[in-house]
Amino acid sequence: MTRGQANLPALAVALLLVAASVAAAVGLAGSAFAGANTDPEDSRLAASVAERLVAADGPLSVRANVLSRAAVENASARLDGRLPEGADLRVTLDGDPLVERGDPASGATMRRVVLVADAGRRTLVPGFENSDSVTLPRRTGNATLTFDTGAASVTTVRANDRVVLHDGAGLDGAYDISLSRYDTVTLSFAADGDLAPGSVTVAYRAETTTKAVLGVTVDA
Amino acid sequence: MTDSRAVAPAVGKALEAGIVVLFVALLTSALYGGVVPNARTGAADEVGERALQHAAANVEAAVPSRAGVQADAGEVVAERRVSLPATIRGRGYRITANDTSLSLVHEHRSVGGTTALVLPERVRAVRGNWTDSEGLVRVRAHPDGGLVVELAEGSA
Repeated sequence: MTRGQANLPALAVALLLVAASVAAAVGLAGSAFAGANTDPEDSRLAASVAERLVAADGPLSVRANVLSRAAVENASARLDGRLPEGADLRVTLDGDPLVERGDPASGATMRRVVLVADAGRRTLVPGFENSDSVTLPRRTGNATLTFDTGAASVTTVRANDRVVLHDGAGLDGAYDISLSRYDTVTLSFAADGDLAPGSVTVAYRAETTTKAVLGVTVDA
Repeated sequence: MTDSRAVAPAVGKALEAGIVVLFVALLTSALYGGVVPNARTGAADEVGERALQHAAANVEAAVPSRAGVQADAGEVVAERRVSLPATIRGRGYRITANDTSLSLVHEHRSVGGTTALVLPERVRAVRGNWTDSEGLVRVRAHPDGGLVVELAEGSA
């Protein structure tokens, strides 16, 4: 009997080989599934939140991709209730956390390059020592001129050779003038005498911007 | 002794055939009983998750950044087509919106989920659902200002 069934061990070995190769194939398929198990929600939410923060109508922005310094300093109050619920989240500006909720250590991070604008009003008192003109910083959209003339009075104010104010009898008081944001504006003053320093005050809204990196990390 | 010698090969072949049939039956039932359904569910889970994220990204992208402020009530401000998988795990599914999130509903319990939507303050409501592979996002102006986002069937 034992001599007659000599090929049974060979069959057992063959079946063992088939079983082993099936097990290897299933294991490979399993590791492929494990490798495909990324978390698309984290990166989608991080991208969406970053997009929302830099949008023109975003909670911190002045215009598209420009954040307001005042809003950034008050970020936790401004962003309250505007960020997706139920996810650990951190918003940073140049690495400093603005808002942090939970611990999004294993989440996806989206970084956006933004400008942070610091807007404020400045005043300039031309000295009128060598010239009767004064140049404002670029991208100044409007200015308020206040005349407090003594001996000589200003009759005409030109912005880059365009007459913006004129009064033959002499300008007095405060005037708002609008300027082109696309030109660097030089105001020149024509007077009926020598202008004294301090006779004209120019107040303008200046915006200084600094580059920063806005980072949003979300771990849903 | 001499009579039974000829039986040995017949018995041997029958034994081998029986063992092979038993092995194949065992292997098939093991694969279709556990491995294949698990793999299908695993793939369906990933497909569902990606479909939901794709849908959410498209709903967010459909909302215009500035337009629609002066639009009349009910006027369609923007439309966007979204292409989704026809079936997940061989069955149909549904994506529903409830103002702040999108949910994928599938009859298999391990497929599906909910994801938050990040939308501007102007959006008052997000409603409707998709049951088809062609979806349509329709953004309408609300009578009291703001926008309403509707999910509608794209093939209709």
